[in-house]
Amino acid sequence: MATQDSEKVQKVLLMGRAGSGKTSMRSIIFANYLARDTYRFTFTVDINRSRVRFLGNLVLSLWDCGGQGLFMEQYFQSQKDQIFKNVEVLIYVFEVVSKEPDKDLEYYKNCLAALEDLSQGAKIFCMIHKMDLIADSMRDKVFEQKQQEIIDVSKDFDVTCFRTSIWDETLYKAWSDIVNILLPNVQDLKSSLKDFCDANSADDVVLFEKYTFLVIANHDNIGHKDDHRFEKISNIIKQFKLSCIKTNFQFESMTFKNSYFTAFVEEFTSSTYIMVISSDPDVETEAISFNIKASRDYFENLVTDSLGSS
Amino acid sequence: MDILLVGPSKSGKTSIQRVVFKKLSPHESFFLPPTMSVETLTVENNPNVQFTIKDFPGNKEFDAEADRAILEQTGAIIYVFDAQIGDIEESCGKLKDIIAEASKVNEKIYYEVFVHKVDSDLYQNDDQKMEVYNDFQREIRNELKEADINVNITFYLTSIYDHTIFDALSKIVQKLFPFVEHLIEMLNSLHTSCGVEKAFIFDIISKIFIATDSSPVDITHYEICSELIDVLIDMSCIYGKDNLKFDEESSTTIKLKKGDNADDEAGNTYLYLKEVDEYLVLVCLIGEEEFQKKHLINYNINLLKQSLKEIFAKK
Ligand SMILES: Nc1nc2c(ncn2[C@@H]2O[C@H](COP(=O)(O)OP(=O)(O)OP(=O)(O)O)[C@@H](O)[C@H]2O)c(=O)[nH]1
Ligand SMILES: Nc1nc2c(ncn2[C@@H]2O[C@H](COP(=O)(O)OP(=O)(O)O)[C@@H](O)[C@H]2O)c(=O)[nH]1
Ligand SMILES: [Mg+2]
Repeated sequence: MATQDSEKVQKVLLMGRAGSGKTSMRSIIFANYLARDTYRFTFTVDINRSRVRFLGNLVLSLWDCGGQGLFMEQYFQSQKDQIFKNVEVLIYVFEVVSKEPDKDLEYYKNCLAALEDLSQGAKIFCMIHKMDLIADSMRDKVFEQKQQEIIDVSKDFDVTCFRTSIWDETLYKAWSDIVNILLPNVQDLKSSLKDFCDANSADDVVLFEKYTFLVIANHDNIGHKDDHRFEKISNIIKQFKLSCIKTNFQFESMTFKNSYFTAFVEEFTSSTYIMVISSDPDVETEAISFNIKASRDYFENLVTDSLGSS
Repeated sequence: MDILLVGPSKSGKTSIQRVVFKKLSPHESFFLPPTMSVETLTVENNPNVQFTIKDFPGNKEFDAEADRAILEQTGAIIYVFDAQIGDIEESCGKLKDIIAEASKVNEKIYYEVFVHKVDSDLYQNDDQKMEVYNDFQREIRNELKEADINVNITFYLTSIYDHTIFDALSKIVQKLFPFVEHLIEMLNSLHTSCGVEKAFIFDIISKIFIATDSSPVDITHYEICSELIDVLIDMSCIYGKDNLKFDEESSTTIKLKKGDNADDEAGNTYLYLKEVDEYLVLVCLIGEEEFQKKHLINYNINLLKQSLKEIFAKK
């Protein structure tokens, strides 16, 4: 286990206007909230800084900033250094139906300017959030349009936009993608997963982060059609996990079956869960269970390495 | 057998019907337009567990003569009372009128009251919920006494934002099927013969439970079983073949460790799901020690499956 000193702290700013959904987002991904419990949140006043430990020894520092006018002013003046120094990642949340879209972009531009001064090289992600409020048929169009507006004002910054809603798996997709970019050495992990997949003649193998259930790496042996399957699974298992916690239980392993497939989800390394899907009738389920246990230690090291903590 | 949903406009009838039987997510109910004419929905996932929900436009009044055909078909009338704004006296008056007319036609109807939307900020704690619940109950009992009407009414605190609505509807559906008695006996014997802690039989599509053993229902146990069904269905949709979602081989085993805040006596537990009939599953909570005798459990579940088939065949 790494010591305090060797911890790689990555500072992530989570910004956006009041009510844009930052607290809800953070709570669903990093804390134990269900989407339906978020409507009780009131506006965040001032900065609510919370540190989230991820994959054992990677620490994301989330700066959930209340976006009310007054605080925004402070950010760019007295607190500018404190906030914008050493930022690895900025995640900016735009409400897709906004009363003041111009102001949103204005604040966003201010943030970029501050980063240009204090944290060049920061990675920028924009969430175009609350997409559920847009009719299904219009979502593509609205997203393209918003994305273009954002790219237009981002100038030299390379920005990645996501469409998100707390009501479906898009939120998991976006955060999984971001986290993957933050993991420098994920390649070795991927190739070992492939070996594991082959050895068990499995169809699909996935590593999930233990607390958030975000996807860290996977190997797909048969070319599944559904590209969004992991986000759906993250979302649904996380919900299940929360129900477990309410009953004072923690789940350790699950097996799902029908006449075609068997799925295992098990606690794996100290910071991950593994999911293995098999549809090979010749493979004994006990054998897979056994192999999961046998490769635990090997993967423990790989996961630590994938963080590039050197 | 019909279940009628009645009550004032905007009280939440359509929301209830959609959330439970059409998988509408609760927050989307906000966009539902007012109901203009009766909407009928038949639940028939399993051929032996069929019932129809009729969603009436707000403030439907009944007349023993004009509505005779409807009322003869009716198994239960659910009156949805909006606890956010509801006027208890007015609502009780309306409900009394409905009961007066309906009971003229059909004495067997069950009357059910949902004290609904208790998730709102008006009800921060259970005491406040119990207060409106008790007030409503007292008022309607008085009304019925004055009118000299003698029927049984059951009351529920409900919200579409949590599992209370599923729990309430489960209990009502159970009243409509006489074979439920037998199912309860079978589940009780599962309890005595293999130490199963709690057992439910679910309609896997609606997540209504049509039976459970006689030990009291802990809503968190219901919740965890119903979430388990969600995971199984999602997994099966993703990894099953040709939308093969649910079949005879469908099963789930989940090992639960006791959490950090659990009592000392609590041990590890298993959640075990097995198909028992078309779209019906048995879900049980079983202690770690008892689960070691899995063959015994499976044997007993098979017996249950057989008896279920016999009961259905007799009908
Ligand atoms: N907070 C809360 N709101 C609810 C609940 N159930 C329904 N609502 C809201 O109540 C409003 C009215 O719901 P409907 O289902 O259309 O009401 P209705 O009884 O069918 O109304 P009519 O069709 O006009 O008779 C909607 O905005 C729902 O979102 C609940 O459990 N909690
Ligand atoms: N429809 C919809 N509402 C959302 C979504 N995300 C958050 N909200 C709601 O927006 C409101 C404000 O969210 P909050 O997280 O407190 O915003 P913050 O001020 O940015 O932290 C809450 O009522 C949330 O329930 C979303 O994806 N869709
Ligand atoms: Mg309606």
